[in-house]
Amino acid sequence: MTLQDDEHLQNLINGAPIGIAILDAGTLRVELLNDQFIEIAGKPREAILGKWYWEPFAEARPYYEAALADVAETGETYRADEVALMLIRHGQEEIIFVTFIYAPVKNADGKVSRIAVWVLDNTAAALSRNKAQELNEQLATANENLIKSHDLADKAHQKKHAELKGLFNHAPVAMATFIGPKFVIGLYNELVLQFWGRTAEQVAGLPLFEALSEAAGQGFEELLTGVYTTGNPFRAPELPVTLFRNGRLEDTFIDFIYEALRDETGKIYGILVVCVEITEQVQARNKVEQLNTELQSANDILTELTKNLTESEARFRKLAEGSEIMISVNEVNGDVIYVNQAWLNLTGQTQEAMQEYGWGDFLHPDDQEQLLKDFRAGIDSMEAFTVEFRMMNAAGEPRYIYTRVNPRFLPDGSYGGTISSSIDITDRVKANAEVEDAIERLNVALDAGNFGTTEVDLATGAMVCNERFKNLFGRFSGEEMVYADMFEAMLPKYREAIRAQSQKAQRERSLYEATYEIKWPDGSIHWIEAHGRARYGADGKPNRMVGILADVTEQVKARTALEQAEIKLRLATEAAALGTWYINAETLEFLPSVRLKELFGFGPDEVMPYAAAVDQIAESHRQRVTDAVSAAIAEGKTYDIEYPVMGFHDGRLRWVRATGRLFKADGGEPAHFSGTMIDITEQVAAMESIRKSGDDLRISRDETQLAIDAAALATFDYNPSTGKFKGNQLIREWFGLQPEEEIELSVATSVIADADRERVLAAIAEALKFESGGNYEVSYTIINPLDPVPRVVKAFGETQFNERQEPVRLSGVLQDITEQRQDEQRKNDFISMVSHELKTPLTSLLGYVQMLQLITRKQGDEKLNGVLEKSQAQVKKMTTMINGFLDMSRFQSGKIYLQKQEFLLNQLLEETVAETLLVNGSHEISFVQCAPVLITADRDKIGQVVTNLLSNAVKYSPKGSRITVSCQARNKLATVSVTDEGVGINQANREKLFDRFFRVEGKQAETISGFGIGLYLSAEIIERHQGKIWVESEPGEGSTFYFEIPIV
Amino acid sequence: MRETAAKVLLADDDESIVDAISMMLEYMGYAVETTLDGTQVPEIVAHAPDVVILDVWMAGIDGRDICRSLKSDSHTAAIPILMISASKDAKASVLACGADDFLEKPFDIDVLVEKIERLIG
Repeated sequence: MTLQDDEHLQNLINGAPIGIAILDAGTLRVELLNDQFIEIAGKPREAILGKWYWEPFAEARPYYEAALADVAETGETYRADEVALMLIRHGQEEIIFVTFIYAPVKNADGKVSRIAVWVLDNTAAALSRNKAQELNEQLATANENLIKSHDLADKAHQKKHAELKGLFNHAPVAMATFIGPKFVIGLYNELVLQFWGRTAEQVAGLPLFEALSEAAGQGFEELLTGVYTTGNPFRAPELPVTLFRNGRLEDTFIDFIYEALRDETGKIYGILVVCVEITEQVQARNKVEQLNTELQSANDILTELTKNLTESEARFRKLAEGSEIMISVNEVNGDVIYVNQAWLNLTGQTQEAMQEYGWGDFLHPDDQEQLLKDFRAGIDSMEAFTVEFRMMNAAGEPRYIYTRVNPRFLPDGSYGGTISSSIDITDRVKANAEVEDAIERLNVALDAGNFGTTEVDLATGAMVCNERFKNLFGRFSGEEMVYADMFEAMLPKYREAIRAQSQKAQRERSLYEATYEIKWPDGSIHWIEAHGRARYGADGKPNRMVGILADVTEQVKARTALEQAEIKLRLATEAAALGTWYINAETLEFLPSVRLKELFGFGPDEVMPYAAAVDQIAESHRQRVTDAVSAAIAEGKTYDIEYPVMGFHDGRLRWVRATGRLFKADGGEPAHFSGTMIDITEQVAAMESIRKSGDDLRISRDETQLAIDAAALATFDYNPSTGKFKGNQLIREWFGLQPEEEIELSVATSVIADADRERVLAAIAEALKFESGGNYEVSYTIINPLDPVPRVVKAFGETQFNERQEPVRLSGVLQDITEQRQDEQRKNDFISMVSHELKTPLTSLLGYVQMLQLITRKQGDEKLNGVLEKSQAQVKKMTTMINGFLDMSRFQSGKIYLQKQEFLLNQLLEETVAETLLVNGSHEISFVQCAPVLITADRDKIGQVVTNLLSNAVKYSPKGSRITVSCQARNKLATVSVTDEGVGINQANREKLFDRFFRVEGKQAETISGFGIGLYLSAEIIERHQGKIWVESEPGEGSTFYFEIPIV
Repeated sequence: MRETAAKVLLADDDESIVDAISMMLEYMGYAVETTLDGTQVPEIVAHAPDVVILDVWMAGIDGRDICRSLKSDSHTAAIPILMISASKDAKASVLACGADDFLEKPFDIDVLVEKIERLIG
């Protein structure tokens, strides 16, 4: 069966909106084609069908023969997107613009049996655009605004459905006028009648909705009336309308414009309607969608492997859409015949300008000369060539362009110029440059670090290395060096292990690390430390090994020297207290030295037989020791064993290390067995304690770390001798520091708020003084440019001092208290605001009360006067409380400042006591006069403290009891005390007494008003005077409150 | 006692304060003119009061600004000004703007009268 026989397929292809031809993949004979293909080809059907494809298309053969052959051979789709093609159409030479695909059609065994050629004529699309433009111009005569909107709509439409434009765009323009408020049909053209499906007789002179009754009730009356009354034009693109046409109701789509008609006076007398029916376009769109579906099934018939085709096409389409290939057709002399949109986009020029002025202005000046040379050579060769150059885009930025230039031959076979495709490779060039730059930087870093680098091809053994690598192996920089040289340089004892390690790293995709010795050509031995990693090919197998090497001879030497020194030291120490013993192999006589006997707890003169010594070995070890000795004798080996022994007399437990060996006589028979023994009790104990403390340290370190992490604490460690500062990740984050190991303190402190920096530095300086005790505690704000909000932190730390009382390190933690601070601030602002609000009504209340008092006093009403006295007292009490709140919030927000002055403390106390007595007649308050004490302090605030202590004493002690105030000056300190005979305070309460809002709980306390801020404020005031405040009290035995402040 | 009652201009945006204080001062024999609107003060000052009592924080205007403008005008500079406020923190700034005295709210009427008398001289 040939394809022509398949009628269904032929029908489907005929219905397709694009040109299709089906070729036999082997012979390239055209088996099937549709009308669209013939239309685009511009040649008769019989000239193509059944012919070898290149026979009718000889003029295109030089450009695409290879591509078509490739498709048959490789089975890969070839796509040409909007290319200029010179075709002889209807006997005329013509350049058309087409997008076409050569798509392989595979049979069941995957072989390409046929090739489908899909062609879309872009020239037609351009023509259709022009056609649409013409229509728009007609519309312009009706209304200019209308054109704009229609144009826009049409363009958007075009863009979406460009493929359709060539087929269905002969949209006619229908026009009519409706006169008066009843919309009587006035003028109308043929097209509008067609559109309405009416004859002239059926509509002439009738009101619109009588003539077209089916259009009533679809909302048009409202629309028309709107235009008629407001004069505002109405436009509706793609409006669905049902019309009675051809004897039935039809669904149509119309672009409508209603425009008011005005007479000379500007009065509206009717409406002009312009309708562009786009039903066909809309239906075509639907039909194409349908066709697409059918074409899909045509594909199913054509190939059993549709899936492959669809997928590869979809892939290709996606790629083509994403890329922006620039096409240009040029004359032999280089003049531009045509450039596509992509070129215009790049240069920002019009087609005409490009044709007139060419490329010259856009080329990068540095590339012009070379490019011209390349072009001339390429054109002279009349073969395809590629060039790479820079040109300036519309914004004046240089872009890298890669161009492939193909020769263009005229039908007579003569050279007709070029057709070129170009792509913008700027991003690729930049990416390459970045990679090169990164490699360069890496190399610089490696060179700076004195590292050798190498890369070995695992298949061939070829090696690439840097000069430093050669130096590491004792070669000169210029010398040749191959992989075998490197392996042979390795001392033989390492080779096997290194090879195994390298293979393991390749297999497990892990890092390879090795340290080994190499021998230089000059015979010297060097230590090398190597790190390497395999690289893998696309098949996942290792194909290369890259490595970094360093000479670590000095380090190894240093380590070895250290180890040897340790051994020597140990030997020397051991020699000091060696016990020795000797067993005659013949007589089995055991001769222990005095020191040995001592180790076993025997006196120097006592006899210690071998068996007795063995008895003193701890039972847990005894068998093992005797076994080791027997084995050493039997096998002639050295033995070395550690065990505990119990002192014979003193019962002391000692750990000993015993070594021994069998010595042979000249004839080879055993002569004697002898050895040494040392006391290692201390070492064992030390080891044990080291191990234990190591455990403890680890545990405590782990716990500390956990706690630090959990509490989100930042840690710091400052070394005053180097001025360096380091810390954990969190502190680096807070200070905006790079993750270097250590940084200068000044760098860290530079982000501290200016207002705080001096204070922090002073606190550090103070903490570093031995006299200060080394404590460091300070709060400050960090302004890190990376943090949007300044961070308030509280730092705690401690300095460690050496035996010369010099600071060694200051370390500690930082806590973020930003939120706390903000909360405090908000709370204080609130308290302050509320307090002010409360004071306003109190002001008038006090005024009113005092006014009444004046009046009642005048009238001599004692009772009423008493009531008003009490009222006034309550107002004042409330005022005091509010002032307390205000003071507290001022303290909290740091707003308060002491106003110090010189005054006599005793005088202040006397006054305060007198004032308190005035308002409190209920207690016996006395002041024990003291010597005049002149102090410098804030008089008001100290007075406030005394008042507060007195009012507390009154509150918390029974009526009629005594309250005593006294003072004294000693050692430049003034101390004031207030003693009462009240309820007393237990220890738990004493500790919290000076906290804010704290109030002693208990039955008596409940009856006493106040907010518990008096003592807190007092404590704050005294603290700001560098003084202290405290209480001495026992429940039921009264209390004495003290405060102490410096006199100056 | 003076021949004629001393004239007091009282400006405060709280109605009850103006009511209570003016009632009191009138009872004590002063001629009191009041305003709740601070911006009116420069106008009322044309009536030549013997003393101006000015609230610091008033709706829409800062009493200190009024004080400054009165003190910088040669016609009104000689009139003593007593400023009142619920915030004792305001004292320093009040005196800095040229006010003659300051009183924290709430206050005893005796203290107010004493200050007025001292200012009138």
